[in-house]
Amino acid sequence: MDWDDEYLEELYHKVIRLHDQSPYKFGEIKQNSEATLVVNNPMCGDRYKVWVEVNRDKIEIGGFFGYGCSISKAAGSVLLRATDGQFKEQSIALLRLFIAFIEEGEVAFLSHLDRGLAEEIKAFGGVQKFPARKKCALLIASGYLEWLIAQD
Amino acid sequence: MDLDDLNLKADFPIFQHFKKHNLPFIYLDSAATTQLPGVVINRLQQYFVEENASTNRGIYPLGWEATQRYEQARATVAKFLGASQPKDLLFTAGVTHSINLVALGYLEQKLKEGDQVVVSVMEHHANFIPWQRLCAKKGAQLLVMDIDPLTGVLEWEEDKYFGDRVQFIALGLVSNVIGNRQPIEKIAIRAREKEIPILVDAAQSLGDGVDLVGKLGVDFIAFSGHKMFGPTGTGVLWVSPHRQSGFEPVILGGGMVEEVNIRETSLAEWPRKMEPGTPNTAGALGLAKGLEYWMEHIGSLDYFGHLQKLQKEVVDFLMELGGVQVYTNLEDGRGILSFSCDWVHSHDLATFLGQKGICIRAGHHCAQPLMNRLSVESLSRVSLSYYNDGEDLELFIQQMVRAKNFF
Repeated sequence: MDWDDEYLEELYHKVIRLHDQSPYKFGEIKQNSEATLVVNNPMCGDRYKVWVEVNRDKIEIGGFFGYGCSISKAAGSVLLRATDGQFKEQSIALLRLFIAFIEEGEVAFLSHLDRGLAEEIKAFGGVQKFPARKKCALLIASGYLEWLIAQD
Repeated sequence: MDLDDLNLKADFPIFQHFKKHNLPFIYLDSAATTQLPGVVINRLQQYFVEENASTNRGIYPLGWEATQRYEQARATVAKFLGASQPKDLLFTAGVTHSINLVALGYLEQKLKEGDQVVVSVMEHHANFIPWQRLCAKKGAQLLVMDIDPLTGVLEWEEDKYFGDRVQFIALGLVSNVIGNRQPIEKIAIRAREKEIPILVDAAQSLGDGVDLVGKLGVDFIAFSGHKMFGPTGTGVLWVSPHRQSGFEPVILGGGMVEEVNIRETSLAEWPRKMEPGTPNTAGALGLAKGLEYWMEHIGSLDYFGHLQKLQKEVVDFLMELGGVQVYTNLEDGRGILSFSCDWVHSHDLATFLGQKGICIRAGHHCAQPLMNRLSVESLSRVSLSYYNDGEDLELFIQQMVRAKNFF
């Protein structure tokens, strides 16, 4: 295997491949209902709609749908699954951890998470060697975090 | 002499750089920007090392000579385009700048509520948004010409595109996504009958650029230097002499005036009134040198034949690979083709190939109306230039096969 293949294997970690192939609640949308948030990467045209509600401070993920690369779709899948049924503040903290990990490679606080989830998030570490792909990993996380913070 | 035998890569230092370091570098993104031949890089260096002075201002020899060289560059571009007068050419920062100048400096003065402007669905955003915004501002209507989605050819013959309310037509000569040349000559004949001004975005038209003024019979031609072997931040707008009256400068400043007093300003003659501020002299010299290089080394050869041969090789391979939809036109191609794979997203493919030293473009290519027309969100694009050869394609093909296995 070439050095570049190692980087590619790291980028397209099996966790990412699995979530890309079978994303969480992908397409499970209520017919004729308007999406809660729409995220869009103007650089490439990737675009997702997310259906989410906060009831009594708890998150209910309706589903998500759209078009994008494997990294953006897998990141959305991991984060939406991890926050479904969780408290809002807990989810905001998780999204902030994820964003810090992608942007800065910050791993210290991931140890506070459930081990399985921490491993899933670490699977996105390959983007550190592909800075142009960080936006893909952050596409749903950034919009979702902004929306959650704006909820009363 | 055939282009295949010329080994043009030897003239482009970036290829030598990667070769020296034993790194793969297969550049298939020339529709985004072409690489620079050594003569252009040397010309830029020579200017900054030996000739740098402010154009149109210096009385001292170096300043005067800089002005002379700048005007000589204008004459070289005029020769390339077949323009009878160098003064009909403006140096700009690129095709985007050129088109915005026409929208804001020319058409905005004339466009009224209820008028119509014609563009096509295949336009690059640079030749779409300025007209869309101007129409919205003036209460005018943007008529969007369709294409045949299979061939990419404009469906231009409907009378409505040449109606009494149409005040302007703006079209690309070669699509930056599909890569086919459009029949602008025929459209221009219809437009002239109705005295409708027509602009051509010639950004992807290096090979088509020679004698373009005479060939097309249009009113405005815009192109960028960095897609024609020149440096970034350079471009040209050619304006037919009879469209220069009433074309007002959009940006005001030094170097473009006859006289300024506290009550009013009188502007200099064309073209100086249209080039405010200190000109990008080095850029103009580099742009002209890139065109000179093309005319001297490539212009007499079967350059389209070379591109079309390579283009066909890529298309044949992709069709055979499977799970690929190709968007191009082999009959009138210019070495540009786009494709989607049902087994990988274009960004993932571009990342994979990038790791192998193969540079392709992925995304919407600043042509979202066309993406919508083709019902695709994102495409991969291979765009070839004269320096590409069969060896480039061998490596591309080899890695595409690996990519399919990888994903």
